[in-house]
Amino acid sequence: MISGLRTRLVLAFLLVAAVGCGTTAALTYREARNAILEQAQDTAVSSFRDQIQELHLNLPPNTEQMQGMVRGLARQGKPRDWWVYVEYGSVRLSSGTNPTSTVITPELRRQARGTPHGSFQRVVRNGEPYLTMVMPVVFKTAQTGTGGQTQRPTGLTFYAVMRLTDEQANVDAMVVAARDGALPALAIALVPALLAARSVLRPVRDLRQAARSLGRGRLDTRIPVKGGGELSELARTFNESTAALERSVDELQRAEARARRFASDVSHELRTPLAGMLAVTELLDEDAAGLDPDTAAAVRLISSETDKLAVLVEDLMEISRFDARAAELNTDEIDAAETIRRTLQSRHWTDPARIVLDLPDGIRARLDPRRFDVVIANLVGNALRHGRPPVTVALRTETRPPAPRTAEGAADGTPDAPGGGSTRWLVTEVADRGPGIPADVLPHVFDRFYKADQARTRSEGSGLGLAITLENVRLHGGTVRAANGPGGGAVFVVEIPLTTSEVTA
Amino acid sequence: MRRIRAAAAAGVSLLLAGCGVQASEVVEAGGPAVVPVVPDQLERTLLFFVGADGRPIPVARPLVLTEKPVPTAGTLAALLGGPTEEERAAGITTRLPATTEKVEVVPAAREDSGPGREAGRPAGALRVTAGFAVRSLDAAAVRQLVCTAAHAEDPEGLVKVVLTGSDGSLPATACS
Repeated sequence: MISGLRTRLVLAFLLVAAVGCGTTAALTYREARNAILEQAQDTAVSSFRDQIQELHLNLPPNTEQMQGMVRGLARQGKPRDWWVYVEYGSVRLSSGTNPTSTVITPELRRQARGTPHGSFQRVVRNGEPYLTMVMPVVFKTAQTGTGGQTQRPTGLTFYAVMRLTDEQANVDAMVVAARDGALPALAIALVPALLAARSVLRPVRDLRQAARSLGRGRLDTRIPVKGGGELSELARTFNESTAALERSVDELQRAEARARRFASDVSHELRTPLAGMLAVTELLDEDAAGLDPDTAAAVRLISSETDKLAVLVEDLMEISRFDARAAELNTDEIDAAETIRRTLQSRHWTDPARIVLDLPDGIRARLDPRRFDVVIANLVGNALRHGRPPVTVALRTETRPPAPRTAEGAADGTPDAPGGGSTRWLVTEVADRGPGIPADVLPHVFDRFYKADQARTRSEGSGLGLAITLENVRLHGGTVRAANGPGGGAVFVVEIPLTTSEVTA
Repeated sequence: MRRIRAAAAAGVSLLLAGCGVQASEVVEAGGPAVVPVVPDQLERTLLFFVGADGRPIPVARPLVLTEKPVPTAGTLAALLGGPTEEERAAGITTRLPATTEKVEVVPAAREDSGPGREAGRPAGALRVTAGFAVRSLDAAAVRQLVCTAAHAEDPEGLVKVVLTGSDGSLPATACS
């Protein structure tokens, strides 16, 4: 786009220069050509007249006399040789072979007869320019020297035809000169054209850089406003828009932060009364056996709902910590299979009919044990709740070529992995045999409080389980994705880069 | 853009149209060539004949010294005598009837001041009476008579001439 603008600017500049050069050259050329021609014509006509005036005439002149005159005049051609013709009565004589000229036009003859004036006409015959002249001859009737003024035509008319080839050559030379002058002038005009384009385009380039910087999220980007032209006007508008954008983004961020803090505060505030409630409901639960059945059912309902509330509050607090970027990764080098087994045991998910394990030993990874436990528990719990057993938990490692980002990391000198840039990943797969996840739900499974079935308002979980899982995996630098397995059923794949752990493994 | 293109085209066409040496109209450039005629005015008789196209062609015949000064009537008689063989060869003709009849000439405004052409410019009209019909003559023929008579009477040829013939008179005219 900028090169397009530059091209157009330069072209416009060159066009102006060309029009200027061309017009000047054309006008100069015309003037010069006219001057050359006028000079030649005037010289020729006046010298023709002067030479004729040196003659002495008999009336009527005899043919030999006229032939002599014509030859004499032809010899004295000025500025150049010419052919001379004479007409007298019925006599036609010339200095050439033909007694009459083919170049002289009837208009010129008519002019010679009509007025007692010398006349000329330029004629182009077969592409060659000629100057044709006519000179009627008059004489004074009074005695020479008496001051008599009356002139009578002698009936004698001289014509001369002169080639204008030299003038043509001069004029052509001027065309060549004009062209040879105009082309370097255009080439020189290219320099100011480029400079002008540069000066015009510099603010545009600044603007582009500013826009790019803005796109990278630096909302405090501003352009220095210089002068008062259209481009500085644009820069000012840009700055104003950026400022407005910065303000609204700031406001949005503040509002979001307020909302998060509110969620965090609420869950904090709920925790204390909930702790009390939990203690009481536990007591009531124990005593429920001694109560009458209706009261006992009510007490158990309160107890279970309070438990769920406690889980929800815990999850909310957890997610608030993620939002506040307060979540810390306390890594430890652990055996991945062992950790998963322990997680399942602590939740009493050990029934081989419900849980199928594929956990090769000896995969050591640097993980946060508590967070990895949460991830596995959430995924397995989710599978048990929504899918159908058996739930398969599989663990493996994969080696992959590095993504561009990890390549950058390697370039920084981080010893990502041995083996020249490729990365090893810890892949944990949790699959169930349930109906799978509908395609329209798939993109949203990790959203907070997303309900796959909008009608089912009461979820068994907090609605934050998968969101917390996602945040935990991200904290490890990994990814988690949901898909449907080839045999039906949901498959959740957690991939966490095996970082320095490999070295010690 | 279209305007720019039009301007460029106009410029180019201007450049091309002006290229080279162009033909021109007939342009007047100064006066005619003025040539001295021999013999000089005092030693010649100026007769106005016509070319084939009817335009006047003056003929200057040398005077025979013994006849000096030649009266206007004599000059007119020479005119009526027609062009010589040599003059005819050059395409010179006359529109006047060939006659040997004498022409009477009455000089104007000089009837009282006696003969002599240098006595002063004639104020009135020169009267020329011919024996043939003058009203039926064409313009070229009349001009022949008028100019020859005027120049015979006056070197400048400015005197007016009244032609009278067997069929009446023509209004006074000057040689032009």
